[in-house]
Amino acid sequence: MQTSFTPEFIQTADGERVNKILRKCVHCGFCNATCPTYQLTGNELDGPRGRIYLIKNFFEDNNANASKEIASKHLDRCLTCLACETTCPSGVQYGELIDIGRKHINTSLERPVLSKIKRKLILNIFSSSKRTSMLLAITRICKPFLPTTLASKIPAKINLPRHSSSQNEPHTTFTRKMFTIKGCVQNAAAPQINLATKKALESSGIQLDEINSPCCGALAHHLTELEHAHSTIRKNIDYWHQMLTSEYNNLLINSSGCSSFIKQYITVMQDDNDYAEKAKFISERCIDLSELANELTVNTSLDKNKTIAFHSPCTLQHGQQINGKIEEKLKQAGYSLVKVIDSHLCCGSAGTYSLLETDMSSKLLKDKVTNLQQYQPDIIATANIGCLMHLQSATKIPVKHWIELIA
Amino acid sequence: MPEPISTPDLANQFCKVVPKDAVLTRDEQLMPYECDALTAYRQLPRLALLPSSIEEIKAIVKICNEYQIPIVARGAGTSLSGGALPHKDGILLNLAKLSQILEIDTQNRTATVQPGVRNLAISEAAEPYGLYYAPDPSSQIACTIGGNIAENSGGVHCLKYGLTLHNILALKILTIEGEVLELGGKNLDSPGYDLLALMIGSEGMLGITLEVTVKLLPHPHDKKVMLAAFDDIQRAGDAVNGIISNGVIPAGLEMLDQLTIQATEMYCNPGYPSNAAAILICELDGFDEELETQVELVKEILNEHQAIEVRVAKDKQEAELLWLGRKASFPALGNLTPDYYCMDGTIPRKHLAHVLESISNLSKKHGLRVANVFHAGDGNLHPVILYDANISGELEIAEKLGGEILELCVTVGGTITGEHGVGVEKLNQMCVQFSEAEISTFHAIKAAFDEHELLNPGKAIPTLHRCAELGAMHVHQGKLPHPDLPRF
Repeated sequence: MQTSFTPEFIQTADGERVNKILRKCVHCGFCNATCPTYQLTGNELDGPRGRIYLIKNFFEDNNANASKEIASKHLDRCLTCLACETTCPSGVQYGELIDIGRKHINTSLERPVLSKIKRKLILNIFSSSKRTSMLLAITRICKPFLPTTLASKIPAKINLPRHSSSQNEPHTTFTRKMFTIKGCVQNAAAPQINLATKKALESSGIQLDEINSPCCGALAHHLTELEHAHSTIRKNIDYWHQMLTSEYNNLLINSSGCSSFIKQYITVMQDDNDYAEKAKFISERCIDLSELANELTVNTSLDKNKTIAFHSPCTLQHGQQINGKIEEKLKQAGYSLVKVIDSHLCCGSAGTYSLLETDMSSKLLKDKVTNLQQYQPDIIATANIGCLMHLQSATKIPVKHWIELIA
Repeated sequence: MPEPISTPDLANQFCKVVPKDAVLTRDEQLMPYECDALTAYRQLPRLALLPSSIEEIKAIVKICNEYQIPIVARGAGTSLSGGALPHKDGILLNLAKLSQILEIDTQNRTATVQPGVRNLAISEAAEPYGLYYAPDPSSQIACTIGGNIAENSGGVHCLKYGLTLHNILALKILTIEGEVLELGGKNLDSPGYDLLALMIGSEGMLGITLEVTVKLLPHPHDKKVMLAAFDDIQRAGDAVNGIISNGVIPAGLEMLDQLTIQATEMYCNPGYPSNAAAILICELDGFDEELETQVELVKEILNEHQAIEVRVAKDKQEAELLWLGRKASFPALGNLTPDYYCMDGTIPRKHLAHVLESISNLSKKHGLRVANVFHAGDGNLHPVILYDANISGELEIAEKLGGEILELCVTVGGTITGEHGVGVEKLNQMCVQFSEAEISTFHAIKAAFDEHELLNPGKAIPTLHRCAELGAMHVHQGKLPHPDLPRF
């Protein structure tokens, strides 16, 4: 695509990147075909091609004051699910482009007070496991008094078993040593997932230790709170780098939203001279649990006579381009998988999206749940805490992390 | 003529018949609609409208007819000829929201759909019944059936299964006067003049498509994909003729030239022989014995034409790999150059080698590289001109070169479009293709449906004035004075 940026803009780091990305786009419109929001509104502005145009215009036009509001509205509506990157035949790096767009457009725009407060609250509560737990405890008490739409969003309390019930003998010697993070929302809402992960890995010869890192930084990054995000990331890098250069082989993450973001540290921190190198190291050493799927020993005592609809999170299938590994493992374990129509589309969770763009999000959720339930599965499985909670709020079928069906 | 109406007043009129957020008024909102997939032509419309029902479309058209406002209908905006380029005084009518599949009739093997349904979505909906919709333009994931009808789109498999025209059974068309015409039906023939055929490929100039009934086909029993490499492009061209004249109709028969082969090898490594001057990809389909006989026959023909390698894909994966390179060839070429300009012309197959050589000469003359990847079986060329839009003047050279290639097609007895339509891109070449009398007839047909020229005005059929001006200027020499002057 032809671009006409000023030489000054192209000389900036972001300018050079924007120009390079845009020059790859041929405006073919394939991306719109798999964009969940374009499917809903049919408006070019709610598809990647239109958003690319908005970003291009913003940077080309020095008098873009008038357009900020409209641009910002449509950039906010993007789920960053990256289905468009999977579809794009020309390799346009839309995710990086929209991050730069959001950085410049959204931060130069004064949001309404209520919206600002909402975003701050979301960031401060959900980036901490403790505060999320507190919020959950309070809302669980108030649940009977809440409207059903809100009440359905509160996950049930999980009572963790005191002893592991595995029939598999845990290994005594480990071939590799990995660590995982306690994390934010998952630790508060579904702590059993980390336990199941540890159990699965350790019965397969991989030692897994849990460390007390609160958040990967994705939450702040999604909200374009970049200083906050970078500060979290720097702390993480300092801590994790030390672990990975001493005794641990890898950082293992079981929530694809987090693994996807940690793998992006390399891009997010590229302009930080002190951290760029280390960020690259962390990104390269981070693995998503699904990448180990075929190595894991299956717990023989679990009932496999069940049908499963698998929802592949966008951060897995588009963000990390990991496809079929979990499905293969579940089949191999003995479960039967049902077909899911439009499996490439986002469920509407998308980090903080479900809290900020409630209208779009609930429409996507409705479509997704209809498609997942079509063949009446016994269980819906997924690989990301955000999707898990979001889906569970709209279905009676239990939604589980896939590792709970293996460990 | 009615009194001219201001744009805000016009927007208010539309807000009475469609929701407010379905009326886009501000430049920032309109900007993403300023072009389709042919980005060289750009124009902001006065307004863009996003109706979500037939009733809303009818109400919009009524207002446009009353105030004499031009209408450009748009599906997914994937046209490569500028068919959905907005009109500066008109509205852009975005039909993407009309995306419902109304009926799949397995008895008659038809699907009835709204105009904004994506081409591939029809096949996906028909899949549970073992059926599919055959025309498969490269953009089938995104392009809409309404757009396919406007452009009479083709695709890789149209050699055997026909263009859009051959796969549409019925249309509901809204005229500019607000009348709904029901053309065709679930039968193969209907009495009277064939107005259905007239609509297909009419580039949105005769009416607005409201509903489409397409023919569905059962999936072929089995497929075989072959690759043949040649060290001489002439021999590859002759082999294509050999296959067809021996009574074989492949489902697809594609040719890639050396530049394209090298680009795709670099891009996705499909395993094409990189020393070849050209390769053919041939897909055959049918029942077991029929298919085997065809494969043997085609092998024989390819060897007779001195193919340096003939390969038959052993399984589905290998077949997909052979297709992968062909399907990725445009992005692969995009990797060699910041911009490319994809042409679309058709020639009698016997002239393939001669035309490819002439294209190569034109490429040298203008100093821009041209790659060729095309539907060899039906002689539908897609010369791809590689250029850089950020270098001043290079787009103009690319367009000039493209124009000369199309005129070359006409000279050897071919046409200036195979499947992309004329749009705004090939208006000049229409003057080369058709005589004054023929163009006058086209205008008379347009006037019969749309007297005041409100539907997609300025597209597909050039004005006689434009042709006269071009004729006097010897366009076929490719030297057009004052190329900057608008010539619509």
